[in-house]
Amino acid sequence: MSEARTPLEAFRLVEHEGRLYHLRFSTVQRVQHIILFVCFFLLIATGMPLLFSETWLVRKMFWFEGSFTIRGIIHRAAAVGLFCISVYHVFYCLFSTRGHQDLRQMILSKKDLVDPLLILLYNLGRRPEPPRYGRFNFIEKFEYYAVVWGSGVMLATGAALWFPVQATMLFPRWVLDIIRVIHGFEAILAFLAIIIWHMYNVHLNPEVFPMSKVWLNGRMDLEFFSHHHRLEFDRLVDNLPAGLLERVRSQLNDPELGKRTE
Amino acid sequence: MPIRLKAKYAFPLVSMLIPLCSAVLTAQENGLCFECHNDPGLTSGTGDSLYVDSERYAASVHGRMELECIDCHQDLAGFEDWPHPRRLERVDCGVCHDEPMSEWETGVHGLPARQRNDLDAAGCEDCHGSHYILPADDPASRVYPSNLPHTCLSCHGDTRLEGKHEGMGQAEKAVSYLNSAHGQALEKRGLIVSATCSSCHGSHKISPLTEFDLQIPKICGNCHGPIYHDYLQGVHGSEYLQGNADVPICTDCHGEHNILGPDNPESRVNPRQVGAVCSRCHEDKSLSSKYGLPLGRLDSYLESYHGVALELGDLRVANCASCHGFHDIRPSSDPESSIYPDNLAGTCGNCHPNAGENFAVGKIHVQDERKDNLGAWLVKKAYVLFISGLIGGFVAFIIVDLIAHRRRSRRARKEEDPGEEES
Repeated sequence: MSEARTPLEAFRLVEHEGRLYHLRFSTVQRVQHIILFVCFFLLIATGMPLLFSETWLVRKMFWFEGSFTIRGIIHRAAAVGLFCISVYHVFYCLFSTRGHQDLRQMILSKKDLVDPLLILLYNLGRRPEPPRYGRFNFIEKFEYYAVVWGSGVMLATGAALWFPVQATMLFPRWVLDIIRVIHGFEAILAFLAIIIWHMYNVHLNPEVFPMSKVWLNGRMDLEFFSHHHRLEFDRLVDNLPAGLLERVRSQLNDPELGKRTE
Repeated sequence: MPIRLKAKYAFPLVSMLIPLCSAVLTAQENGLCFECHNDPGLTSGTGDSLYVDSERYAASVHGRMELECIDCHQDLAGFEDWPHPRRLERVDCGVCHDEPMSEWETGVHGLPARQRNDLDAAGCEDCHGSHYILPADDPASRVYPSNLPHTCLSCHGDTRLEGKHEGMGQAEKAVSYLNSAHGQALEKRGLIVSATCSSCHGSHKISPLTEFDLQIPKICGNCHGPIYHDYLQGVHGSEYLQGNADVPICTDCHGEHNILGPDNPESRVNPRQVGAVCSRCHEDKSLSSKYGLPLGRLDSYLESYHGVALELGDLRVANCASCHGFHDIRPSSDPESSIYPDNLAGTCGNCHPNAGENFAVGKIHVQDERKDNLGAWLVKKAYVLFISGLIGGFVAFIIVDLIAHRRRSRRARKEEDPGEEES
């Protein structure tokens, strides 16, 4: 009985409708993600038209007087939002327990270079098993660093374009012209990466289709967890108190789970 | 035709004759004429009205001067066997108004009459009326500034008359005056000093367009003096003074009859349209090679942030005129030019307060990016390469993943039910 009282959160477990789930993202993390993608899509929607100003759709977008000015205001407001959430995230990673734990899991290792090759070989039928991933696989790490890099580049170049007079106190205007090129292409890169890569991995991928709900409720099915984040699952099983381990065993229909075969 | 030859001498001659003949004429006072002609039902044999309203005549400028009918209808002088049976001769206004008359004769309306007795073009009565002429400063006069456009347009705005005579092919253009800045000032705000037809074209002596065109800047300058002065200082105006017919004059940028203020979206000098107006010459290949004007200005502008923002409706951004000026545009080699290297920062500073020297360092009209901004060119190439490589990688990975997934799930089904595949 005493073990049942052990807080589930310590093991990143959560109970929902009588079943246990792995709590992949905390509420704070999910809110960060929502703010991030709201800002992202506002920025894309108000920024991309500048790159495709000749197209019919873009012409239709700015049909009423002042709409272009409103576009600029929304773009800058969303940029401020992105800046704030980025700063918050830095503090979150450095000073919160969970943020700090996850940041450590995010550190790149040699395994992240090998895994893409292993999964490719597995997909091509040259290996019997897919690689085993920790909390974040190489795809997720790549996406995370892409966001960090992209946000940094976009915020820095965007600030220069927002304040051209101040920026040209630091460098000549032709540098600003280059910055404008970077801002545009980095936006295209980010947009395509999200639309193709992220949308595939969290929506269209047959394993999660039509959509992984992790971003909404934070819960990951233990079976899915054990398949896709095997290393972290094993770590969990190793540390689980006996009572909880029993529940996990019965839930997964695997009485041998956690019994070492030394 | 012989009427005209007498014109110059007619007035003094007649003025001497009138008192001499007054004894005879008294029998023919206006009252006598109005006995018949004041009847609204009076018509000629062909059905034309012969009605003359005596009261309206009395209120006219000639009536107020107490001119007699026969002062104009001189062929009735001395006539006694009333009613006169025949159609009267055409009235010769030149008897009294000899100066306007001789001006008219040398203008486009009078020339056909003088050269080949073609009276179809406007004569005195077409603009001024006949029996009820009012002084020109009477707001009801047909030649009062605010009425004049409608008077002229009764012929020049009539599409049915297009092509009937030389210079009568542009009714729509002429009518567009009514909605122009000048026309609206006249009609809506009652500014009778606003330019009306005669302000530019003249009144009695109207020159043919070939002569008129050359005079346009001076004509506009009659009212827009300081602008005319500015224009002459600029590269366009100084060339105009030297007789260069290639340079734009006022109407090339502002339009002619349909001149509109720059705030009007339809205006040719509205920010939206400035680019098109300038590039009519500045993107013209033959003018470019003749004067060494660099091409590709418009395209390079449209690719800049200013150009994109303008295209999408932000009219505050810089257009051609914001940097180059307008009436007194000067070449970049002129130290007074807004785009003279030393003045560039100040020009940018008009919109970007506190813009420093650095703000203007770098080519504005980037044509060949590789040459003009190698950095930007390299960055662009690198991104294109990187993005296509990365996206290609993504797509390849996804395709392999999907195929593998399908193969695995098919195999899983087969293991569950081995007979399925064969059956």
